[in-house]
Amino acid sequence: MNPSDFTTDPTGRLADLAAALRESALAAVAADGTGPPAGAAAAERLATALGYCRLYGLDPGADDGTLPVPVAVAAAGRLADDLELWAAEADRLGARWDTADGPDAADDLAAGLLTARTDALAALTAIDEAAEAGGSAALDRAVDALAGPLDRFDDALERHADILSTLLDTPLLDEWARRLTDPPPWWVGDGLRAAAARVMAAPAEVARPPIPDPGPEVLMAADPARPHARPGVTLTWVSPDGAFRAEVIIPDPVDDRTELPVNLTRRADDRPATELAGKVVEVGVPRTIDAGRVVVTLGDLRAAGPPAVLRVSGEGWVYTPGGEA
Amino acid sequence: MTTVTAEVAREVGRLDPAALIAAPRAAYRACRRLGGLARYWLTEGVLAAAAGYAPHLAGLFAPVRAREDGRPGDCWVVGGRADPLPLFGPGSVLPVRWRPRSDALPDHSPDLPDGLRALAGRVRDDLGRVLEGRKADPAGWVLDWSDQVRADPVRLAVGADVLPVESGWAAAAVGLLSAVDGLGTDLRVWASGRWGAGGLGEVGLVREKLLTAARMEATAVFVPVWQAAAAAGLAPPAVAVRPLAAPADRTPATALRDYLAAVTRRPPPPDPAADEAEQAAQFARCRAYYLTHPAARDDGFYPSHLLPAIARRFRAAVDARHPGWAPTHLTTVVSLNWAVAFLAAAGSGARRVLLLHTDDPKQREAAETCRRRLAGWWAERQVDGTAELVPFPRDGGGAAIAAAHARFVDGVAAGRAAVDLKPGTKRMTYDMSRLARPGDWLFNFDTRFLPDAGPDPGTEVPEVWQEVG
Repeated sequence: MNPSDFTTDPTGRLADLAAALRESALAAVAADGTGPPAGAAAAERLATALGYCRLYGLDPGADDGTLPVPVAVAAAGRLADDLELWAAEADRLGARWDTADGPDAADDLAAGLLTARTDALAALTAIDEAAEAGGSAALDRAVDALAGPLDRFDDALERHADILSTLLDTPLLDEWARRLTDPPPWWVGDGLRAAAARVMAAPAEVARPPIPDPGPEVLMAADPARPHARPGVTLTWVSPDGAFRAEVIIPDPVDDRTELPVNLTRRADDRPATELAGKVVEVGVPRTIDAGRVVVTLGDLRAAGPPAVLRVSGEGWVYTPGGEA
Repeated sequence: MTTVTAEVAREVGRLDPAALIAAPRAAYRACRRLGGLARYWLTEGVLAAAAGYAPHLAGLFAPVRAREDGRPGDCWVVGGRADPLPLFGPGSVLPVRWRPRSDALPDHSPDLPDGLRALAGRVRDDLGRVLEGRKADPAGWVLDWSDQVRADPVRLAVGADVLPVESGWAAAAVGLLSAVDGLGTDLRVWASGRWGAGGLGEVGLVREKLLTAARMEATAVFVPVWQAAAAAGLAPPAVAVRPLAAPADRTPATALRDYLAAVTRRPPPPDPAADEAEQAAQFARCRAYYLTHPAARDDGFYPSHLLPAIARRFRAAVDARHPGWAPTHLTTVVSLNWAVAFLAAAGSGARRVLLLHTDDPKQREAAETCRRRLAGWWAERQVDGTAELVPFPRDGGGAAIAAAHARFVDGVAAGRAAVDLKPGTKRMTYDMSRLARPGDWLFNFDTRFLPDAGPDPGTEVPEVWQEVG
């Protein structure tokens, strides 16, 4: 890209459209919308690029137009497949996000899924435009077939709105908030805030921590063949702003009286969250955080619910499945 | 089960120890990515940080240092690194153990690196003749992680590029011999030596291994003899460098002899209260120690660990070979090796023993020792036995011996006295052989000798014949 390109196409979407239109694989799309995978992928890229132009209110000039019906059908078919994949990825977001190698990698996971959702919106915009411009019965069926995967993707994203909300006030979401205004999609700005609030306020709808059954009262010290307990389940809760995590590693074997540290650490650098000193963690009996830690027992966790939302001085920290081992 | 791939090993190894110590959660995660090997590979600071994060799991992060209480078959293979990874330092230990092959472990553990399993196979081949001498089937032993790693299991899927193990041959070989011999190992004594068609081979990264030895609190490292002088110059003060022999005969047994003696630990004496099979196993361990530790010939090991059991077996052999033979009186000569006279007295079953000895202080001391041991032997069996010491002059003592014996057997019925021909000089044996009255018994025992190892304990065979005059 040269400097003049940047001034005339700051989002790069016009260039994307131009590139998508030049893809030779588009020619492989048959009249009924079928064809090789490369053709469907090229069709989807064209639909996405054109859809972004519509969403952002850009003028493609000579590249403007409506998707040919076969291309729209192929794009819809490919988009349906992608939506299923993205939905599956979104289902695993909690585990993958919490085991990501550092906060940057965790942000990339969340941002990747939101980008996929916005790409889907763009592609749908262009595909719908083709359907409304005349379309065909095949295109109508292809559009109808998108509803299920799209709902699954949205459901999975909404369940992780608390995690996704950690991207609020980032340049990516700010850009979308400014450009996607008619109407703003739920995963941008206030919509995402509201979804995150729903997740945190409705613990019954989020995953609940799996608390293992206690072992025999006489712990392994009496068994020389098993001198050490090993990590069993790890439970992790994340603060609403995404800055902190609370983590408790439940050993195996364990009994109800085993004292378990709940470590509160900064997600940015894994260090103890000393800034939380004096705050109160509510698991059964309230406990005051000291040096980034409170101590509970398995019995406390069992008696408390177990807590899908950990209350830290009144704030709800949401349990995220797939805590690290 | 934790799986450590080469990628994981490199990724974790590149972590900054100081950063992990400052971020205990990261230290905990790094440790858990190494499973049971973390305790061996990581510094105390990192392990302490991990233990601080999970104090209820602190046992997983207790640093392992070299100790003398390894079990039979335990050995540590040490690998050095030319480009040390910050977290692992210049080298890493692989704690392994030779175990009897079983249905549960029909071959070398699949959780070990391929290179280490291949090395284990070569060790078995290389020690074929040595094991044959011990009547052990090489295929009956397989290499596995140590018990400590098994308790926090890990599969180490790395190649020689990450952790070369060729120089672990000596450690693995001695580990196998300790397993076969049933002898515990001193894990503070390390070796770096490889074996090939030309015998003992040169090893690399000696400095890195010595530094690792110091960190793990090892006390000695054996290296090929021609590398020992240079290695001694590189060794930290707490680590002694000792030579692995490079014998002209190119036999592993000779190359490993000193290292084996330094590593294998002294077993406890056989327990007379144990059942027969256990006693036999205990005796076999003591015998193996005696045969592989030259120092054991002079440090009291034989009388404390072997002689009581030999005497019991010898007595049983006398009963089996000469049923009904029951002398009441035995005359013998005590040499500096008082155990020979003791064995004859204990084996004969006689309750009255004449202990003849030359009249110098050392012989008197040996005779006194023999008498004390016999008193103990009889007391254990609630036998009313007595031993009498009589000195005789070294030169021309034949008459004194004859007089003492005549007085000793005065009034004893013919056929109830025996004369031991085993100890003493040939002259003494001649003089003793003339003591027996018609009807009395002459007594001797034979022992199998091992090349370079002297009498083989436990092979004593009694011989008894009657003086017909």
